[in-house]
Amino acid sequence: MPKSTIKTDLTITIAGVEFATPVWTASGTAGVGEEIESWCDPKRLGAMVTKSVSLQPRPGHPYPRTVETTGGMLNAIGLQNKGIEAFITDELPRLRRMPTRVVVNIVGDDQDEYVQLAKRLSDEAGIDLLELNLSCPNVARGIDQGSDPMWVGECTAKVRAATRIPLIVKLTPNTNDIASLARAAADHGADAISAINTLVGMAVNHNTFKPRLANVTGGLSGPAIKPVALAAVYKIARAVKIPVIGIGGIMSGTDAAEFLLVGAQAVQVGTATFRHPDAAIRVAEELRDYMQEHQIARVGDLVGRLTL
Amino acid sequence: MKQPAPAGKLRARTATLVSTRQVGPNILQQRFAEPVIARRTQAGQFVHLLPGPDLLFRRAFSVYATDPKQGTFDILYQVLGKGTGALARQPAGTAIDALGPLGNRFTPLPADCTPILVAGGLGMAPLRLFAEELLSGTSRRQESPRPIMLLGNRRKSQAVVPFGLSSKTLDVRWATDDGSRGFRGTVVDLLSAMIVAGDVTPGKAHVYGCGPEPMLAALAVLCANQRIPCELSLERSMPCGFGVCMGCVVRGRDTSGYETYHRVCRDGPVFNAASIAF
Ligand SMILES: Cc1cc2nc3c(=O)[nH]c(=O)nc-3n(C[C@H](O)[C@H](O)[C@H](O)COP(=O)(O)OP(=O)(O)OC[C@H]3O[C@@H](n4cnc5c(N)ncnc54)[C@H](O)[C@@H]3O)c2cc1C
Ligand SMILES: Cc1cc2nc3c(=O)[nH]c(=O)nc-3n(C[C@H](O)[C@H](O)[C@H](O)COP(=O)(O)O)c2cc1C
Ligand code: FES
Repeated sequence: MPKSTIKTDLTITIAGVEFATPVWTASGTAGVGEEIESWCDPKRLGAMVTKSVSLQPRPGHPYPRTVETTGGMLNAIGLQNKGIEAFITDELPRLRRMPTRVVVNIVGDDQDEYVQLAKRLSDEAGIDLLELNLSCPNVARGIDQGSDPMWVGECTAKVRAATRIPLIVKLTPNTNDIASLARAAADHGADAISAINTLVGMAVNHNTFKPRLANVTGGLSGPAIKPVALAAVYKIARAVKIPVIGIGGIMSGTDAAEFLLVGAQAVQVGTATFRHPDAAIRVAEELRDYMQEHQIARVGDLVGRLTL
Repeated sequence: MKQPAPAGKLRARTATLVSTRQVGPNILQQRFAEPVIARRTQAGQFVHLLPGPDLLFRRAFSVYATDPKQGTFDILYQVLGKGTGALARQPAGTAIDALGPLGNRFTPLPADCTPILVAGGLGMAPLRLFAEELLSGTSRRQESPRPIMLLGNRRKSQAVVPFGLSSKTLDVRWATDDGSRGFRGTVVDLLSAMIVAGDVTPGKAHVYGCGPEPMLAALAVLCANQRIPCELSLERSMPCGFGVCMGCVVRGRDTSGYETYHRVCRDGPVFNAASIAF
């Protein structure tokens, strides 16, 4: 029997901010807006999430920085960016004018740097949310600070005290207990959690005996990590009350729907954008088709609907 | 600096495979029908093709020839791995998802200069299109000196003759490592010999190079020493091809001389040789 056509509503609200769709770009995969804007109508993006910006400019790692792997890719870009001041003068004015929500992703070497970044951005208009990239190993101290719940809690609390912009805390999957990282962030004032960042991985050229990335190891992303990401989002959504934004290997509308079913309120599309510049818009349209097929009117009605 | 296109103005296009021709050992020339790419592409620019639905990433190819009237463009490539292998197997009529034209172009030169196009292997592809532009006058005035094209290969069997160019208007010279066709040595050695012989006047020449990186590095050194302006087209593994991933970088210098990483896909693929730190 043919199903009736229903009116579908993709809007969602996170931390009091309304988004046209729950499908956003992911940090580091859509630049700072300029490039992606020529390929996608920003009005149809849920949000534009910027490449991580740091206090000082970072040159990034040497080439080769990426390698294609089975079902995904490794990257070791090294957070190349022009630093916060150049970001504010060169990029923010255009981002502000983009008819979409703007999420600025920030990264620091220590807690103080996150605080300084948040303070500096608080003076600027047009930023809807901040996303703290707490998923980067602190090479200097030799520990992965983002996988320590205490550190995550402290950092979140300090940034919370420094700004009124709503905060998303982005978590690393390189831990054995992502739920406690999420709890630490939620307990210290995060408005939402996003997960996952990339998984540590490596590729070797067996002919030359050399690593395929100049940085030796890198971060794995793409379809290969979707199962890991789904499990992470599932665990986080059961551990915290604040919204969860699912990331990892989303290539299609049904992939996005799976993340919503396990408890995400929104998703970010990363690696898929390299294949199709307008991937986030395609995913949103396919999600709409999926809702139509399942006769689900409001996208929020999918959230956490997993049947055990 | 290139101005970004207006919001949502660029999009992927469907290029239909018209023909596949083997032109060398494992070397194919493929023709695609896609009128916009055929009309808009300028020499040096590339297309980013999704070779098949099972591949995660696109593969970059310089545009080798265009026929704006017929609405076709050609690429020339060597079958290497998964991506080029998949493309090589596609039958005529296959619809290929294409982004393009992407990247910048070779800069047209002053009218009184001799353009010297230096190609290593399949680095010939974008230079062939540039030669055609030069000869048709779109990149230069007709009365300008005759362009020179230097083609280097390991050996004769690998040498691909540039498609559809007339040697009457273009001075083509060959070099092979083993001397089996033309000059014995690399194309850079050949250029060097031509300068010594007085065939090339450094102050009145402009060099454009494309090929393997060691060759380009040697070419950059030669041109710097001889004070010949030089533009190089580079190649990198390109996950996105439109500037968002920061994967395709080359170490270089910015306009104030500071070291930085350029994105080959968007800041290039054509660079002033002096802005690259090999
Ligand atoms: C701007 C540009 C223009 C190019 N023009 C041509 C051309 O005209 N003719 C031609 O034969 N080749 C050209 N190349 C190289 C071509 O893109 C690669 O040969 C091709 O990507 C190899 O893909 P594969 O899957 O067959 O090989 P694989 O070795 O299986 O590729 C694996 C991965 O490595 C990447 N890769 C491997 N080698 C290269 C390389 N040399 N350059 C870039 N990426 C690479 C691929 O994109 C892929 O992600 C160009 C590259 C660039 C960046
Ligand atoms: C090339 C590349 C660069 C990235 N850069 C950043 C970054 O600067 N900051 C960040 O928080 N995440 C970064 N990420 C991680 C993505 O935002 C995302 O969390 C991850 O890739 C998983 O999603 P995906 O499988 O859809 O790509 C990057 C990912 C890739 C592939
Ligand atoms: S290929 Fe992604 S920035 Fe150049």
